Amino acid sequence: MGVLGDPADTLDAAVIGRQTSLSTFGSRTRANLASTIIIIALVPLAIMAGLPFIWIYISSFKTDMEIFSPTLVWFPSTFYYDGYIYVWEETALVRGYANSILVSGASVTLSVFTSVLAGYLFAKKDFWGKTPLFIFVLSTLMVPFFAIFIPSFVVYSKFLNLKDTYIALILPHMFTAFGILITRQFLHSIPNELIDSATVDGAGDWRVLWHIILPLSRSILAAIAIIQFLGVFNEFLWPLVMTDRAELYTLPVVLRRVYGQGSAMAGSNRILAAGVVAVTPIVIFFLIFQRQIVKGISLTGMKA
Amino acid sequence: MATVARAPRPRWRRPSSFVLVVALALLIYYMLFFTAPFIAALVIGFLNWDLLSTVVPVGFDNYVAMADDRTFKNALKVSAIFVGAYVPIALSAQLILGAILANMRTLPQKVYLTLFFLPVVTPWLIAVLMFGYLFNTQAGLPGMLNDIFGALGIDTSFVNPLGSKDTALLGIMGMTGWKFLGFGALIFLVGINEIPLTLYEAARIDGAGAVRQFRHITWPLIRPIMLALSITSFIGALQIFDPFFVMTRGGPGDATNVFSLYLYRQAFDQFRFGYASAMAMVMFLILLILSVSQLAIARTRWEY
Repeated sequence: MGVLGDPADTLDAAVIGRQTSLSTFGSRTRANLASTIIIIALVPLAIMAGLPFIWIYISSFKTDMEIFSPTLVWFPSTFYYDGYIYVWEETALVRGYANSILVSGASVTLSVFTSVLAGYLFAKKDFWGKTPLFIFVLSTLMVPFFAIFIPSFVVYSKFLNLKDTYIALILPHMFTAFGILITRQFLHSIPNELIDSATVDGAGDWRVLWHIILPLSRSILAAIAIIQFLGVFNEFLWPLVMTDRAELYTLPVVLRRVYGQGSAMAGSNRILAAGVVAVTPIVIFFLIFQRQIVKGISLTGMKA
Repeated sequence: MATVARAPRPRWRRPSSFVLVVALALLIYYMLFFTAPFIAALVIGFLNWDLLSTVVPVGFDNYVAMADDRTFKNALKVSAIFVGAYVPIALSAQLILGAILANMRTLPQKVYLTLFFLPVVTPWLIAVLMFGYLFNTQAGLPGMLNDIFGALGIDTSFVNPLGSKDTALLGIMGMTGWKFLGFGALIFLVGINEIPLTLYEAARIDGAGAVRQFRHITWPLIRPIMLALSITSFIGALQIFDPFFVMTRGGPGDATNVFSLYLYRQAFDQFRFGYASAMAMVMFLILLILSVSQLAIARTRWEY
């Protein structure tokens, strides 16, 4: 990882705002004409990026006949919203959403907490076996999910008997090596004198952590929380094998059921409505928090 | 890894309760949920086990069986095509978009970043649902294109890419590209912004145009980020599972029956957990070799 340069530099720059990533663009523009051409040239690409979203919103108000008409029907002739009624009354989509938020929320809370604990441990504490322990934690980043997927399934379902529990969905995210790594890099930049002065005043590790470290590392923890939330919310394969009871299905697992129910034609309107219901909160969430999300990913992305 | 080796403290001191608690928690958690499953995967790979009946040790039989398994060899081939084509194309597109965005004024840059980032935060299963319809011949993009070209007097017959053996993999590739374009572009954008502006100014005074500035300043300085993204993209792309499992189900025929899907099916449809574990080990080895060789090539060619 030495090749990647010092990640602390990136962090400092973005957190302290010496040269924030999103503020130096104006000075780089050359001729006005050229930049206008570039802006226009990107429009088709941007349409491709947004098309699936726009198309699902429009299509969800079409009837099944309109959706699969031999000649394409661009816009629905009537405001047909039966699919939404079906989604509300007949599918577990809302429950799935609640489960996903619960699982992601709990995972985020736990992993942010453990990140700051372990980050502080590795950045500011000296103890026997520190370097091997840190390398050990880092090495877990090298293990791809599929390498431990099957034995993890066996451990959780057969030995720990945790199948069909929320714990089984949260426990794998309790610690995040990448969160620990990033918090540690960040805490290196906090001067030791700050901690020492508190220690002299009689504060123990836990109080230093709570009153000094935690407030200082708020921005980096927010970034970790965002990445972690997006990751857990997206997760499909693990909840799929870990949950048999429909009450525990997370959103992706529910969506897979809904998607699988559509035959060639019948029920398409309902599936599209389900898609809209599923994607709308995410679009809103993204538009509200996009600054934090973009900043969080630009802070941590290279490590993820 | 230079930061890991800090001044060692040879003398053993009694660690504080904080150090003890956090270090032990880390050690136990990662031993239990990473080291143990990883070793277990290695062991299960030498067994015949369906989780219910008795365990039969079979030595290297599972690994030998892979060499004769035509579906496995096909899966390996399909995955190699997918990863081998996707990663270079996606990285190039991400780099170009990132460089374009870096040269943009703040406002259009923000608008574009928002648009290209929406797919990044959209969970795979929602993307699957949207593209299931967007790919449809009657209801989606092929129908739209036929309609638009028809209006221009050109007869086209675009069809659902997922319906044909020749284009199904391409369809999923396009979808993957759509999903991650904004992510890579942002990482490159941040990287380009870290490059000191004075370098560009000096180049401009020497009369270098945009292309030469990119070739001689941006590209050499962005290579470490390229390397990091390339490694993580290979690891991520080989493990993509959701669209293959839900959309194409490996079909038509075995055209999209990738490594990860075949592994899952061997375990959870055929209950050959030993065989699937052996395959997981092969996947781990492939990813390890890919990552290490990329690092090695970067080191000798670029001399960091």
